[in-house]
Amino acid sequence: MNAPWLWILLPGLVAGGLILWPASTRTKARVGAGVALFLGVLAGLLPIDRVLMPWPGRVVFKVSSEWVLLGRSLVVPDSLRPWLMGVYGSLALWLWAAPWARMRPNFVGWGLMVTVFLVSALAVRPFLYAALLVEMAVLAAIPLLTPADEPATPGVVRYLAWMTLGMPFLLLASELLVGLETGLLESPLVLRAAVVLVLGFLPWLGIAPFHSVAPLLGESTPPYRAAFVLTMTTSIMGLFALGFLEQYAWLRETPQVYTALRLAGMFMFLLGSLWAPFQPHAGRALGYAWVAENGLGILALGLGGKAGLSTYAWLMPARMALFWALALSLSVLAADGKGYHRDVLEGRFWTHPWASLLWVLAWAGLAALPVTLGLWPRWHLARQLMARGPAWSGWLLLGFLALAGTGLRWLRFFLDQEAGKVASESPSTPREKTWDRLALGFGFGLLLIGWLWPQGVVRCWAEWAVLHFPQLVK
Amino acid sequence: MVFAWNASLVVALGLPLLGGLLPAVARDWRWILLGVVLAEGGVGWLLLQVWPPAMALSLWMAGWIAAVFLGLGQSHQWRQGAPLPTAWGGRLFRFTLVGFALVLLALHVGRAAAWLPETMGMVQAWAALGLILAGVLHLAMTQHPFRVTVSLMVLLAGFSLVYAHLEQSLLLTVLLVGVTLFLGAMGSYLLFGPLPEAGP
Repeated sequence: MNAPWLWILLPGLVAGGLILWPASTRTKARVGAGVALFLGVLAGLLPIDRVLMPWPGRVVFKVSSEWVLLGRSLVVPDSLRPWLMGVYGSLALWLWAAPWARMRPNFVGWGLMVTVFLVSALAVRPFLYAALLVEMAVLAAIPLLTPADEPATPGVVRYLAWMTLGMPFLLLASELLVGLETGLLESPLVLRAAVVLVLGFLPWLGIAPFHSVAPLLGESTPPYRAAFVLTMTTSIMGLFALGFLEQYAWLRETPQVYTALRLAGMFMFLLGSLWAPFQPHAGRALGYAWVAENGLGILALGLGGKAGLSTYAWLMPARMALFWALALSLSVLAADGKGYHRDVLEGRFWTHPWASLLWVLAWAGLAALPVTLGLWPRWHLARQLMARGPAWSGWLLLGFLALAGTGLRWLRFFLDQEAGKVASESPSTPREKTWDRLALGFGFGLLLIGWLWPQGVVRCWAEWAVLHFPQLVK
Repeated sequence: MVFAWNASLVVALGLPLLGGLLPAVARDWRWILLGVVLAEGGVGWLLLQVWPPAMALSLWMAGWIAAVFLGLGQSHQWRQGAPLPTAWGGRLFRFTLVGFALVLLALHVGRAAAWLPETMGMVQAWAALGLILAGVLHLAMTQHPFRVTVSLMVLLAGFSLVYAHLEQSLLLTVLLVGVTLFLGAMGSYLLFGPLPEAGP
């Protein structure tokens, strides 16, 4: 047996089966989330490339890391296990809550398929083929974002266009970089490859002007679908970017690269956080929150070294949990199908108290307020930026204030008594169901436990995860 | 050999015109699709001179099959009475823009080719860069799923000419074939939706 069969082939076959299986969202979600959780737990428990003797003398086996396919290999080394835990654990959460978010049955199968392509991009050797596998994930996200009976929205078309635009540049950069592991940035060959690399990563990481895909997708697509695709793909594209830093010494050891990452990250963070409060559409606000969160990730990468890498890793589970909570609460709030505009959602606290509070709590987490698990990685990041000068911390604080303001603004809309009174008195207004509160309550628990237990599992996981990049943590 | 060289030259020079001008200027989706089919065929022809025939023909066929997928999707929309919107700007403006881009490319193809593999030669570099430029230009003018997918196919066709000179592995061919087919299928999938997207 080998690891790529377990974490790529098996979920790939399950995803194919789920796509073809005509079952309800709930049934598919149970199967999909169960498989994802199993794979996440297995990644935590099963060592790779080590002889295991569960029954000494009788049962001995070893899970090898490599699967040779068409003359090339898929390699899942032991150091990738924490990332597999994170990816499949987060996927289990997204798939489990899909029925509460009123997702269509196709969400589960395609969600699993997107993740399988992304994981295979992390595993493929030589590394240069990864861009094509990420493109496959982008294409697999299209039916997830647009079920067959819905029209193609501008957000989905732009997502397809811009993500596909990045792929050929990254593939070309990977090809041009073959044999240039230890070149110098001054070398024309290296400089050429670096420019092509930047052209590829701009659309993939949603760096301005390509950030606009997120608010547009948030506006034109149900938020649960948009948030899943954006957070899952960007998190793994970030790992792909780390792979370049890990592999190429000239990139890793050039201080200007980190300065550029820090500047780009801060710009993105401020762009997202300062625009979010002015959005009258909750989906667009969510999109700008993603832009800000993405900026924080790039900022963490720009710190360089083990500190930056562990901050980047620590941000990832918090990002998954916060965006899951945002998307779930918004889906429950707008379950009547009237949309996500402020005018429609005013007074919703009086009919949907749990969902309203979870939405606001998640914004508080994004703003690093000391109430959710979002606080600790952001605090860690702020402390490291402080060492680079007060201006960095000042800008960070400004962004956090804007995100906190966004949450407060939406709280004010939700608490609008006049709209709430009209909605409460109308028998046709749908109300939050006890069943909805099960998932929402889980969301509260997740955000609060991560806050109360900062040095616990997630921190240990982040310290483990950075070992996948030995050159970067040196 | 002289004939083969001449044919390659004609194909290479014609590719950017087919892949760039026709989709940008044509209003009828069938003309646009014809442009894509001819551009994919031309790329396949040029690939045959670099890659082993089986690999080159696979990518060539994948391009044509993806074009068929797209044609099915767009003909569905056409039968539903949803006309294909023109790209942004007037026809003369688009014609001028693409023409201007091609003139710029002709003037600077030598300098741009320095960024490409040395084995490519000027003829293939012209074809690859022309298709990439044409794809990006058309992409900038539209957000209709049919036109966007056409632009992306043209762009990828241009890049595949570049990759062909850098790598000759089976996995790369399989993945490129997979991406081309999947892209055509997803473009078609979006076109089979219930309501056509309004706007350019």
